[in-house]
Amino acid sequence: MAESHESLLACHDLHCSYPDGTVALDGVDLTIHAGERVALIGPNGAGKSTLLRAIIGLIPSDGDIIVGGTKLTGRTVRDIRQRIGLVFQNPDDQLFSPTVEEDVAFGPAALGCSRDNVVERTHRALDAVGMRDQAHRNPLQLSYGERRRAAIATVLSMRPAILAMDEPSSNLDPAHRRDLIRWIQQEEGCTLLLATHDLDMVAETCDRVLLLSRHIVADGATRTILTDNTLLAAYGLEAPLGLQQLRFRADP
Amino acid sequence: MLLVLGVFIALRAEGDEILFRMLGVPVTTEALTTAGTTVVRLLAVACASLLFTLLVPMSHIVAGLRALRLPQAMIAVTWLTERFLVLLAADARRLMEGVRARSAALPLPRRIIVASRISGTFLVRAVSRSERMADAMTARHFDGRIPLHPTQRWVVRDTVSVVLTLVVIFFALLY
Repeated sequence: MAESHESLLACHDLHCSYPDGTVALDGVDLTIHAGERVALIGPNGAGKSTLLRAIIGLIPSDGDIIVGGTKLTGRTVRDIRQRIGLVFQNPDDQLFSPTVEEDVAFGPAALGCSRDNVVERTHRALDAVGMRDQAHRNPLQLSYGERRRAAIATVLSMRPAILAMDEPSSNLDPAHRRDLIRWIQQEEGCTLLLATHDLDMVAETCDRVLLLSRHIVADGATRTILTDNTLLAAYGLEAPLGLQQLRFRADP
Repeated sequence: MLLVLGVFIALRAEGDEILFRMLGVPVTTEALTTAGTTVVRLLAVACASLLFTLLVPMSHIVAGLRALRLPQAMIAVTWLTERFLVLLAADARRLMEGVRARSAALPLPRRIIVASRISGTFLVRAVSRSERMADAMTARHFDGRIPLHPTQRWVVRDTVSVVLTLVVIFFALLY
């Protein structure tokens, strides 16, 4: 994919606290360029999900969030949500319509797209995740892997400039996880921002890694960050299994 | 509930011809007729509403309500209520499976106590679920107006369905 150096998403001195006073984000500064594939890693409670929610204005934050040159404000929040599509950690939180097709069509229809355009976007999004044949099924009756793919389709149909995914591989069996990784590797045309603990998936899908622990602790190439065992261990993370020597329980 | 309502009306409605006494209160022919008619009417309306809800997809109902030019807020509340109840029912099923898995051996009184405690948990979950559903809808540009699914168009068949339903309700209320 051709990579431009245009800044697509920038956060400056971003702070966010929960109503009970817990500080979730404490001075986050980051810049993501168009076409980049960026992983957001960090231990539990590091603020990964909070950051993803904050950049589309789902939760209030202090500081600047600038998407494609537009600063996030009450007036621009709808425009920014059109540019960033967020796939939630739990697909059950994302799917609420009676059928998969209606759920996928919800976003483009709410954007005010024409009838034909909504149909075209819906079909393309379902094709992209291989769910066209499940279009008329009730999301509640799908397997977890299928629900995950349907949830991704609901965001793809909105054609966002940035596809943000929160723990996309959590609870997936190995086959569905592999399918997801393959799909992310092939997906072109939008900038990726993955918040995940799955460092093996990061190694296979992302060019750049941001290590978050309430603020950005490290920012660098995937290989550099994921091979820095000292850094990873300091934040409760482990190098990808693929880079570790496999030891069986029976080994001495 | 309908039966209780019928008994209540039978005991309260006035009339001249006393048929029998229930708990010392005279029950008249007119009161019984009034009670019976009211219960049957309500039953017919409830059945018609249930049939309509079960047989017509929600997206068609939204299209119909919009064609009838009802306020957007009313349509949105109808749609959200139906959707939220479906999602809550699924959550409740999962919660009950968890309870059953751990309380099958408990005696009935203890199970009732567990169930009452679960109802509190369920309420909290329902609030949390509604917040997450709101987030999911907000992230996809929901602005209070339920977007019409493109395959749903108001056709003659829909008009016939609505007219027939209204006719059933009308006659149920009349007789």
